Amino acid sequence: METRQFTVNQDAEGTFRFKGKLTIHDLEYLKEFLDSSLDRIKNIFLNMEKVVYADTASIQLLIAFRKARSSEVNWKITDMSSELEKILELSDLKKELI
Amino acid sequence: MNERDETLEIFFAETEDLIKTSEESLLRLESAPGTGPALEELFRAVHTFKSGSAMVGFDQISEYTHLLENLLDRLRDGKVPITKPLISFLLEAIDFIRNTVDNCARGDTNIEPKVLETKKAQVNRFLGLEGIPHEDAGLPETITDIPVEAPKWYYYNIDLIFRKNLFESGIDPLLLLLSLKEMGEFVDVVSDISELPRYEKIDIYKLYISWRIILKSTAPFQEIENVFMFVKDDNNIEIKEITDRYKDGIDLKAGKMPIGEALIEKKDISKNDLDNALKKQKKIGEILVEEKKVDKKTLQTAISMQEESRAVYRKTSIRVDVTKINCLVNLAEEVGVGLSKMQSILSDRETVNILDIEQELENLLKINREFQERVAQVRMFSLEGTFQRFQRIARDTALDQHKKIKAIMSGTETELDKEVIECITDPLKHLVRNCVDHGIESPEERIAKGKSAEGTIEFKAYQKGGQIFVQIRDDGRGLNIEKIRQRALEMGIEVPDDEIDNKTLANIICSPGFSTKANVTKLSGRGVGMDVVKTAVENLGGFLKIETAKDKGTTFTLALPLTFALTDALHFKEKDMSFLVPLWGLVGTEKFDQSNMRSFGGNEKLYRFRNVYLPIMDLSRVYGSEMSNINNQGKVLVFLDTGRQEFGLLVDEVLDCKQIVVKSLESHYRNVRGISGATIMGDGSVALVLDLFDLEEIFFNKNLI
Repeated sequence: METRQFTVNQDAEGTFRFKGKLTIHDLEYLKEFLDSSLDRIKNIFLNMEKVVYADTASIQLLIAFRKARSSEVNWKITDMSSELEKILELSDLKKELI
Repeated sequence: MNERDETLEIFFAETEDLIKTSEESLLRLESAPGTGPALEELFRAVHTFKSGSAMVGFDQISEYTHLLENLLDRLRDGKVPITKPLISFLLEAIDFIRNTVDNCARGDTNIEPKVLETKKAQVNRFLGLEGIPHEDAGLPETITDIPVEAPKWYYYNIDLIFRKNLFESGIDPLLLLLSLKEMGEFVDVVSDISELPRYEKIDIYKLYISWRIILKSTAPFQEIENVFMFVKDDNNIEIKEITDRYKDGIDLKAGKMPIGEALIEKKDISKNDLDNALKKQKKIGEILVEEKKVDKKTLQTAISMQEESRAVYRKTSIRVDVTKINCLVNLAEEVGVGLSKMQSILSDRETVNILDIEQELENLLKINREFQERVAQVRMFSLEGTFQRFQRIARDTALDQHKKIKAIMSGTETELDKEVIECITDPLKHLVRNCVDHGIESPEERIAKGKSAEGTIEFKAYQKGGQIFVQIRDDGRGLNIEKIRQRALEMGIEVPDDEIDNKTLANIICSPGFSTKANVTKLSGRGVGMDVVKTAVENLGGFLKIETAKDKGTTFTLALPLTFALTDALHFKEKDMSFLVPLWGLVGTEKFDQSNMRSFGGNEKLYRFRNVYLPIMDLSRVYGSEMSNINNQGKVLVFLDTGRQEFGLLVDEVLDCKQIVVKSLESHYRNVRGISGATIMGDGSVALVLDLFDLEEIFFNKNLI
């Protein structure tokens, strides 16, 4: 069985902490997580401090989710790694995600 | 003045300081790029300005400076390299702030939205340079290492619209963007997510995002195209070279493009958004006129009055170092103590001691003298800020003309009266431009002459006697005497046939409308300036001296009075009239001795003073009468030096030295040649203050420059 390239855990404050690489290989798992774990939550706090890479497909999915829920939830990326920030700025997608 | 006005006054005064600091730091940063004190000072100045502008409610300026602060922060982190274009851009940004604050001071607190947006977009472009590969830091635009032949920069507009099933081929657009980034710098990136469907309808394996990128690179077109070699056939990849549209990293088109269109192009807004916004755009005056609260004419009159008033108000206030104020406060306290002592001495009239009174009076006079000196110092400001402005002008002018210059400043701590600084700043700016425009040669010409490619311009100030000397010197080609002679003859100016000395030369080039420059540039060559420089200096009671040597350079020296407020002077009497002569021009005094006198011709007399024969003049010549030949025994000689000419004055009686406040004679009577003003003496009588330069002209028939 192929191992996932990223993990996600919820800490005591309710923040979801991502770790690893967000890629197209785990896209379904990411969508499943968004649909199940984040559905109905009013405060969505994501910590991406340990995310070393995210590809276009993953970022695109997160943007679509955020756009869909932006009017009803409090969305916040509490932290992100410099690698991820660089990718988001390079692609002009940071403004869509934070 | 209400609280709001006071806050604004502080803000305006602080702004001037912060702008000076910023400019000075930027010029230092340019000459020694890198993180360090200059960058830190600049950052602090911009940060302080940002907070200050927000505090007084100038939110637009605050927003703009916030962006600048971000940019500077990246410089500090080494994420953005310090390049010449960047320094030029930051200097222009400081100019923009200065002009905007000036407008605010005149009551115009609104920045045109399109102007502000363009300015912000420019900062953002530099901010977009984040993450440049380190090896790019040594590229030709960096200051630290300027190769002789700079590689050519190309600008490319790259539109990336991929097919939706791109992911199926295992290609990630982000990796393509990263590869592209390695080819140069992203000047601008705009992503478009307008095709992204609702989350519920998204096909997670399809790509919906497209990009437009402006890339700055030294790589040729083919190399850029190679980045997309595996996707170019079945995707919509469009690469266009747009180098002509860019200068120094700035999109020239953006400046001309209305902000609405720019935002539409960047896909930040739709055409409808822009139309709606434009419909709402109104100025407060328009609204008031529309609502018939005021008519147009009244509004215009009020605006004009407000502008004039604020401009004048701003000019009449000065910022004084707190130590100078503290000094005055201490002296005021000492006066209070002295007066109390005097009161105490006089309280018991029976035991009053005249010696005590005299001693206390002497003490009070001493305090008063120091008080007067300190008050005069309040008006004195160092030339540091002025020289920094000149350094900036020299830099910009040289850059514009593709010349290389090094600016050296010395004596920046020298202080001059505020009014004098204001009067000379504009004329001196002209001199600085002249030095770079006419004086300093192109790097090629300098190398051919055996000089270093980099020219030098020196700003120097020093005090000598009671005068301040301000010098601007270049090591350029010097003034072209033959060209000047030819042009002077064409203009009908009298020119000697033999060699033209520096004095005559200065006379010619300071003639109104004189210029030898064949082409009028935006910098100089219009024949206005040198006469303005001469007039401004003379109006201040000073003189201008020009020295030039072929291929060695030109030096302009301005001799200026130290202050208008107080002058130390020697008091003497001649024919029952009281005169004062500034102490800075005094060489010495001597009792007349006939054996030291030599006569030549009619009225020409020389007197031996300290082993040198100096011409002796009689003040009666100032008023048209002949020098008296009656017995001079018992008279006194006062020897003076203007800096160019030494001479003696024969007077009846030398009294004492005084510190005087010179009042203009012109404002009460009329201008009198040889007299710079008058003062009221302790006994209530009036004494005339002699103008040494005027005397030099009268006695030696010199047309001073």
